[in-house]
Amino acid sequence: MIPLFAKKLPGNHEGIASGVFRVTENLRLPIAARSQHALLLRNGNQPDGEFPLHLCLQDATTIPRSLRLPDSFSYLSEGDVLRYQSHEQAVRVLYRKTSPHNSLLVTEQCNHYCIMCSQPPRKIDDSYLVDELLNAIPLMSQDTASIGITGGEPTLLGERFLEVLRSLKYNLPAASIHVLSNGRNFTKLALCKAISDQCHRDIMFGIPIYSATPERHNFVVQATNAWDETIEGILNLKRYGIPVEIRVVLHSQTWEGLPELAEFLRRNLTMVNQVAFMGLEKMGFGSANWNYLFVNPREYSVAIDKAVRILARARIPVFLFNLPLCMIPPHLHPFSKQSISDWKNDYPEECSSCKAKPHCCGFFSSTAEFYRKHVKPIL
Amino acid sequence: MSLRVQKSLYRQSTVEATLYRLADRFSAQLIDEDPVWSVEIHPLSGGPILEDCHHLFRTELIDQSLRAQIVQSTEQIKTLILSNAFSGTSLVPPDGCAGTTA
Amino acid sequence: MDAQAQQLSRRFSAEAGYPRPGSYRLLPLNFMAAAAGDTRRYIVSNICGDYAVVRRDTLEALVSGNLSSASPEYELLRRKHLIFDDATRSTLNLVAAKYRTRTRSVANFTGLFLFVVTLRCNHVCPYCQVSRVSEDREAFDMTEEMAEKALDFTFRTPSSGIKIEFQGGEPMLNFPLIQFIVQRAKAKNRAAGKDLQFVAATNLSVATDQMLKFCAEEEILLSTSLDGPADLHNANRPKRGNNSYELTIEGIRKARKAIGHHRVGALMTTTEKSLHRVRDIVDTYVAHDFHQIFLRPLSPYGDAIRTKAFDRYTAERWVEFYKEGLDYILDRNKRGYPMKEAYASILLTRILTNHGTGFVNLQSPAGIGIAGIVFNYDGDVYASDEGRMAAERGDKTFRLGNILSNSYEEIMLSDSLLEPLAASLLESAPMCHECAFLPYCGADPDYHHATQGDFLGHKAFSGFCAKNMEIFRHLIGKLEAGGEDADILRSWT
Repeated sequence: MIPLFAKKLPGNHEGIASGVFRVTENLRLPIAARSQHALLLRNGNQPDGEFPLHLCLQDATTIPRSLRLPDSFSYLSEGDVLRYQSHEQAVRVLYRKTSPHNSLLVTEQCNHYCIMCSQPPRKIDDSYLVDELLNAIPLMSQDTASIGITGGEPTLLGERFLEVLRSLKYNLPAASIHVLSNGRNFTKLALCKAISDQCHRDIMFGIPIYSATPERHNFVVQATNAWDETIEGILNLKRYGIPVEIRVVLHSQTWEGLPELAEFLRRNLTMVNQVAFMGLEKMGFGSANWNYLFVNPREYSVAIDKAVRILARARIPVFLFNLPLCMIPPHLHPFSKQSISDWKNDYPEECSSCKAKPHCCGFFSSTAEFYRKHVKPIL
Repeated sequence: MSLRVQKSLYRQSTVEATLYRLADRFSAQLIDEDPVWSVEIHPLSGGPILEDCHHLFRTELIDQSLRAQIVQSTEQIKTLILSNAFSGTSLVPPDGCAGTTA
Repeated sequence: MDAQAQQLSRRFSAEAGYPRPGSYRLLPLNFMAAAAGDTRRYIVSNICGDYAVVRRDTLEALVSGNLSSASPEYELLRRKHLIFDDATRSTLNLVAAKYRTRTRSVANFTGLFLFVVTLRCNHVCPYCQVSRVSEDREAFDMTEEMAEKALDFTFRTPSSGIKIEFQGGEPMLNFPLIQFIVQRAKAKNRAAGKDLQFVAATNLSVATDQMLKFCAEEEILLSTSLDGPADLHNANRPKRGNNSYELTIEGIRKARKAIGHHRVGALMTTTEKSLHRVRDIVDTYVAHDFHQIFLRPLSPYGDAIRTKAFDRYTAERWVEFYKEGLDYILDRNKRGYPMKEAYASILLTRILTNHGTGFVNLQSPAGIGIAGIVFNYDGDVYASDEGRMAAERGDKTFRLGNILSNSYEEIMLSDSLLEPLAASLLESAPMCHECAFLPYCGADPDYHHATQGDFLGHKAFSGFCAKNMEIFRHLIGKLEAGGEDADILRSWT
């Protein structure tokens, strides 16, 4: 697990402006180029004091505009992008150049209230998030291969959401964009058209359908009419040829209906680009409702097996995310993806002897401890 | 012996569809004896006996009547679906309650 | 862990807070007894082929508007798009989208082009109505001029795929014309950019190494006839020396070696003699490592067109043969030998998916002319292979024109094509329009013209209808029963 956030950092805060910075280790960067750069210092390097922000992995007392970072941030490197907030004296890493798992949080507001949400929504004015990202995106590497967008529900931002997508298109032309959305706002054809006209060709929307039964889905997301609007939204996206991934988090309220759901997708939404079945994360509401929601993957492996076969036969690509290999039948291993973002991924000690570990998604850091007693190393 | 079918309950087209479907089992004559249809059934040689023919007729008549009900209650929606199947636009059903459009 | 902790946190609404709507509406649907003559269970289907099997009382409640939203059948019927309600208004759009997808194969127009490059043959099969044992090339071979014109016609197709099938007679007896057609078609396709495929229907007995080398290089698939074990095959396909089977097996071996094991396919014809031999037939295919077999129905186009009653009788006998064969094939699969039955595969694709199958004899509008067209050896153009065979018996109903004297427009808009197409549309045909199998079935104007003298046919007397209905029921029954059989059948789509 890699920490992305730290607050109340010691250091010399005076004169550091809140904002986004690109990390550099280049002591000799021309002064004119240093605005929006944070100099990362380690191994006793001494700066000339002219960077707007100094990030120290060593003693920082003599350096102006400096923060002393915990050692756990030593992974930071050239080209990463972070945000500094002066009122909390906090740093949040927004982008790591070498990571394939960069994900941008654009809002915490949502029109769902999913019983297993790992990032519970908040009804606050968080428009600063987009402002900041619009500053941060130009600082990211043009070679970035993939970027995720997450919320809350990103489409609630309307035009501001499109602004983020346009910025990604202009600044990171090589990136494939993956957006997590509940799809309901795509009942507005104009939004689909705008995305089709203005945004990346290589964009995909990851949209959840938790059941073929609307009432069950609506209960899981705690919103009336959600299922119907999501289906309509997906149809509209596909009218514009926009790629869609269906995402299903597996828990006590979703696993039993998997074969019917797969059959429904195969029959009605054949045009979706892929389907992902995902293990439960013990974060946010997922943690609050853990005992209500959690089912050992071994108990629902027959249901997954049926669903995977239905979809694979219909030539709809299907993936298993966040399900450790020792918990699913061997013939499903080829569908498994190392899907857990590196910064929240862990393996219990018990896994050290496991032959499959190099191909295994491992565990969410939040669930690793819980799973310890269920792990069965593949020898 | 002929069967009697209330004209107030079954339309001519329903009775005819029933006889058409069973044409390989028996031949029949439909006579208007207001307020009933009189159906005279003649089993084909090698086919089912008269009693079975009557049973087949009665069962099929109910099926045909259900079919007529379905056609009646879904005609509008069918036209709507077919006419929109090729336009690619979203559907709003006739009562305006369903479907979300831009 | 304590019971309290198993509850959903109180800040969330319980599932009861999201009830099903109280009323529903029917979608356009048809129904049919799940087994012939059985009034207990019914197959109910919608216009795009979704279906459910329900009890009769459920069907009656459904139609009369009395189906309780609390019943499990409600959930099933709603999921299968037989009804919709306020929670599933998107159903209308989904049904329209599926309907659009299903009809796309009609819009895609002609894809299969049969070139009868010669009528000459080295066999004298009794059920074959067309071939001649003759050395008279002038009388029975297609000319280059005709082939060139036919290719011009072929490349007028709006379809993205073109499949050219060489037929005979024995097409290999006029191999120079095959070479000519392949080379000319490839040259034309450099500009057209179609997905172009070739297949030759041959008995393989005259194929030389040179011919096979050409087929390998030009990627021409070979399809041969294999009717079953030696005695059956030889009885079906008499030849001097009584060695048709041996020649075929040797031909298959040679052809596979030359062009690739899986590029050689085999087709069987069911004759009276085949009817009690289906296991032997399947075994022959297994023994020669074929993983697909097409249990093709008896053809009604024999020298003596059968009487109506006999047509129906043979349909029943054939279904019996088919079911036995299907079970035997399923059993081969369960024993670890993967094998598909092609007719089931076509029907299952239509039942379970929204893809078109391009199978000429199961489409509405009928596949004649639209999904396939035949260029005969003499330049005559037919709407179907059956149509050109009927012509050899003197019935030129399905002759659309001649490639040398008629234009593309004249041929495709000829009354000989449009009349049977219009007359055989299932969607308006008695019995068909109300049939639960309508979305899976097709019009077969050739068949009904041959057996009943009109393009549509009275389906109560139709062997085509009896046979297909019974197989639809059989397949749906197996799918509903679930288990290994259902799983294997699903894998054939």
